[in-house]
Amino acid sequence: MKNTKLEIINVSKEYKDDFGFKVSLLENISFEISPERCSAVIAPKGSGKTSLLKIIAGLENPTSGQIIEHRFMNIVFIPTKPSSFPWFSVNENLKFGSKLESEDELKNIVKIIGLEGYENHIPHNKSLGFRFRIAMGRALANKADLIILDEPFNEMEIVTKEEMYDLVRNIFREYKIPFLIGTTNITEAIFLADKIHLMKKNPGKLIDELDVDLPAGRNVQILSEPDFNEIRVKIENIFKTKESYKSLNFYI
Amino acid sequence: MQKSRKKEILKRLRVSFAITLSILFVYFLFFEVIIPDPKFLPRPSVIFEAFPSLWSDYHLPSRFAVTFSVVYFSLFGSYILLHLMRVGIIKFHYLFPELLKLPNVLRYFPTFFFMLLFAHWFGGNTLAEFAFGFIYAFVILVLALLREIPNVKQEYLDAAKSLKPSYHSLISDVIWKYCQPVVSGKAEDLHYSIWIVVMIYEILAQENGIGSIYFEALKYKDLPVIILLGILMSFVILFGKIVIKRIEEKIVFWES
Repeated sequence: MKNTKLEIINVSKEYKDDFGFKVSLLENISFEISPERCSAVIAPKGSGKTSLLKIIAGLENPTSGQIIEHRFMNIVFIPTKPSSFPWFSVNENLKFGSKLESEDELKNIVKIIGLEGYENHIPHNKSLGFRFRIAMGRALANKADLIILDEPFNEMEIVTKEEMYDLVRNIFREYKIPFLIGTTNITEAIFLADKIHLMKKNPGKLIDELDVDLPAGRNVQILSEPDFNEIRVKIENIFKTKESYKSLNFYI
Repeated sequence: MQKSRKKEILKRLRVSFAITLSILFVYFLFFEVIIPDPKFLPRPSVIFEAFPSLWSDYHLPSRFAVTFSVVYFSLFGSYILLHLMRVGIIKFHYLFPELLKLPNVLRYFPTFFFMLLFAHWFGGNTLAEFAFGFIYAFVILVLALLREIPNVKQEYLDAAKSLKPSYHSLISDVIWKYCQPVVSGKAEDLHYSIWIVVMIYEILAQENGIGSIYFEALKYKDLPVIILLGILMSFVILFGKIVIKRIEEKIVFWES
């Protein structure tokens, strides 16, 4: 990420419902994404999380508010699914929109995402984990300054999820590319992020934010550590006072 | 393509083949052996004996060559042309979405109406037949593409746009690729309908192709030739379908 903060300032989004009435989806959302930290937005379903992430990625326009430094950054958005193109092989997927200058760079990315030997395989009929690896590889090949992940682990099995958590953290460690993840899963957010923004729904609005002071080189063993549980309980308590509490997931 | 799906298709083809052979066998049994003097359908041996007449008197080789060429030239030619024009058509769809809905109005006109117009203007001209078959196939494939474009999953578009490819690449590598299985599936369906459409056109124009054999056989009430030609054509169409299926599996191996 370029050495600049990404600032989200007073972002609001409205839409018209079937009867023509204005509905506020997001209301005055402001926060910063720093280049040294990974961030997460925990929000219940239907809170406008995907819209917020798309606005940050430049794929949607807000009704009001602005994203500063937005135009100067290369932001790659990874949607919930499907995250890779089933008509391209692994290598072709990685080359799509890529900024790679040599074949060696490509080979290196294939190695990092753990798909060595699968370069010519087609993701069609492959697991969600396989497809997610390709999506992450594509972001690396695109030399992203920031990777935005929109609930990418939702339908994965627990073992695959844990592998993907490690992959995401490794990419952050090795390439210094921060990411912003939108999720309903509290455990996932604590494990992956260094800063968490909590959001409620109707309308989508930030209610709190907290720092996660866990080691940068964390792995899945940390999920059972007392420090980890302490943060989880803290977030649960913040959400407990809100009606959106029920639509959150607390464990992976 | 999944192995199970391939197996399913092969199984279906085997079943169709077995049903066809069973029907022919029952026909042979009843009309050759059991019924002494059949009136409704001719004896199988009479149909078999009609082959030399079909071959030489009705000029089967040359007329078959015309219909065969028109059908496959139209089918493959229109698909290739669509492939070449894909970016232009998709761009046009996004620039003028309302304008491209106009061809939808045409679907309320029966194809037969356009056949009559073509036959009226150009008669049995072989070139006109090629043009008719080609235009028919091309319009069907373009409409299939236009109907599929709005179904392209937003996730694919979002993922692709955030990688900032060129507009050409976004259309050609994402939108077209997404629509390709549906367009190819349409081409497979089209294979059967284009045989029928071209043969009806030939019956109307009365000069070329298999359709003109049918017209003459009907005029001379030559039932054995009509049946024999029907059997031969069914095998040709079945063989064509298998070949097209194989080609489709090679080109479009994914489901969007």
